[in-house]
Amino acid sequence: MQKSKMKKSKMDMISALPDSIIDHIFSFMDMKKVIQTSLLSKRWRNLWKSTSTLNFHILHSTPYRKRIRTAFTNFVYRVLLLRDDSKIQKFNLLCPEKQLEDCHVFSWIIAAIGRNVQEFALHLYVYSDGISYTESLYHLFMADVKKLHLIVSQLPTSFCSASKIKSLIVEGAKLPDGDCNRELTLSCSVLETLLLTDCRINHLKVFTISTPVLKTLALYNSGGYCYCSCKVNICCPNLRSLNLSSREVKDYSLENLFTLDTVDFDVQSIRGDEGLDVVNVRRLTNVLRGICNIRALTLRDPFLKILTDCADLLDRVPGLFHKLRFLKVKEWSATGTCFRALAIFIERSACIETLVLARSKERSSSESQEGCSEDSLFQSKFYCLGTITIRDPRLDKDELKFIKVLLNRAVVLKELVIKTTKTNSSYIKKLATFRNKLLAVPRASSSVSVTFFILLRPAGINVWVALLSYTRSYDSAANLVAFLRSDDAVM
Amino acid sequence: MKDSFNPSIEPPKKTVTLVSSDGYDFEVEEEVALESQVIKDGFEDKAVDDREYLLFNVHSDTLELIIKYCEKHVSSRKSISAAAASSSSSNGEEALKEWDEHFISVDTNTLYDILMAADYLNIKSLLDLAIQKVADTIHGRSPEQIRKKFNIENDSIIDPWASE
Repeated sequence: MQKSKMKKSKMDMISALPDSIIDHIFSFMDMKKVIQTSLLSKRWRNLWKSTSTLNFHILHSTPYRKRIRTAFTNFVYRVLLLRDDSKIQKFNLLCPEKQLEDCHVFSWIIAAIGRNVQEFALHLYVYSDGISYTESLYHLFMADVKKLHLIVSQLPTSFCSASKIKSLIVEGAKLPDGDCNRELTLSCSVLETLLLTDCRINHLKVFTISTPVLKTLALYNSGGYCYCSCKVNICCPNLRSLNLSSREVKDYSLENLFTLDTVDFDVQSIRGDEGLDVVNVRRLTNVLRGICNIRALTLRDPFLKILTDCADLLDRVPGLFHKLRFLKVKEWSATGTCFRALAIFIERSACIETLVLARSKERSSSESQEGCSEDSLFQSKFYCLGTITIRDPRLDKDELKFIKVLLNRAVVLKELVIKTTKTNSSYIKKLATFRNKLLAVPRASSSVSVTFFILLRPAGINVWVALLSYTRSYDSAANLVAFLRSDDAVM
Repeated sequence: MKDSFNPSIEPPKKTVTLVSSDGYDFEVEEEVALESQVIKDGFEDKAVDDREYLLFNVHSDTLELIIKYCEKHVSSRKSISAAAASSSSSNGEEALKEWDEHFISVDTNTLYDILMAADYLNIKSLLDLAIQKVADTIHGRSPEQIRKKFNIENDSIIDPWASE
């Protein structure tokens, strides 16, 4: 055994791999590195020629920009010229600064299309008026490309009628102008996934997404608040997942979304200069009406506040979230107001089985800390709630009260998981005290397991460590603290 | 989902026997073996009591690792789907990624064995993991360093590196 291992270690294993696996390895590498392997040995000399994934990535912001640009351009041409005529599966071109002339990119795209390319990722910085740029994108939309990922500044009109693309991701682009009434309709017959991140639609009056087989749609805006007058119609009868996160409510019209299951929704504020903005309230009501039958919802803390802010909003939509099973609140701020808001929310959607509260960033709590009285939180019991996960809890009185009430009312609760990424000793001490207090809380459900996890990073690898999986009879706060101390070195 | 909380009520698990190239038997749960597309493809045709697979290309040392990987992925997939019925982002997935990273940190020979076995058994996620590891190893090195690392003998007639 030992001997055969010794023998093995002298052998050249990687060259013995079949071509298909080596091609797979190449697909994870930049083309420059792939070409370098041709120097390794005879076996490797021609392998690069049939690479099915071409990754070209130009590094930016160097003082010799012009020389690098020319070298890069020549490199891409030579690769395309010297490779054999096998098919290209994937073509990735990343050059985030204005470095390449449109005509080169055009030639490369045409060459790749000629080799039956299936997937394209382009990250380009191009001015919108380049004719060859518009034309090359036109060819791309018309070709037999299945997946397309574009990070560009402007999209041509041909984007709306791409008939073969299944998955389309566009970042940071201005959508085309539409017809004379400033109306734009996207009607891609086989499109299944559409992600439009930070795309501008303000110049449009109406933007209609009418795609028969679309399953996943995201219209995501990370930028600042801007009032958007464009009306967005979403008519996708097979939609399953929808992400409409942005700071403001857009004028969405969501109709006939019978198959919709999962929604990620976020609004920062619906207030105008003088109190509640009537237009925003109407828009929000429209959205809620469109998504009232979903089963999973992710939202952010500010949106929860809005829901309580105008109490009649929830009443306007009959049967809102009556099927909701899963609720996740991101950026959970753990203030008294939020607890109340969440309480109202859970009470309305009685089917919730899983609740996740995630606090992503440490925020200075400028808000006044209102206390909340336990009794005001919930009136009824929960007959479905089975799992609660809380990430990075604040560990203050309000939170304890809130969890107390949850434990009190959730009749079939099975798991309460508390996770934290903080490892400083004061926080962990607090966590231990918190755990102790939690132990003493009476529970409505007979089989709750309460688990604490801490994120450790030994040698840069993240590991969630379960602190103690304890039952109510197991009471040893001292052990916990000792355990934590002993692990301090690892942290 | 309920089963995972009351393991005593569950029916006895069906198992499959995997036989390594050096003749060792490994008895694994059905769903663990089904991680392999190859086993899955011919699974329904086989009789229930004849579920034995001879894996001529997989040594017992490697098979042990492969089973460990599949077991971990089956169990964590269950816990992820139990925790979040439909959310795509979950801590369970992060944890699994870290576990993977740890799992694949092995020497070149073991990596090669895992790679070949994953390819033979057609376990896509494991194949991708192993291949990513090889690609990363190649990426940061010059040709000479790559040769050294993987014991590649330079048999090129013209060696641009030797002439320098």
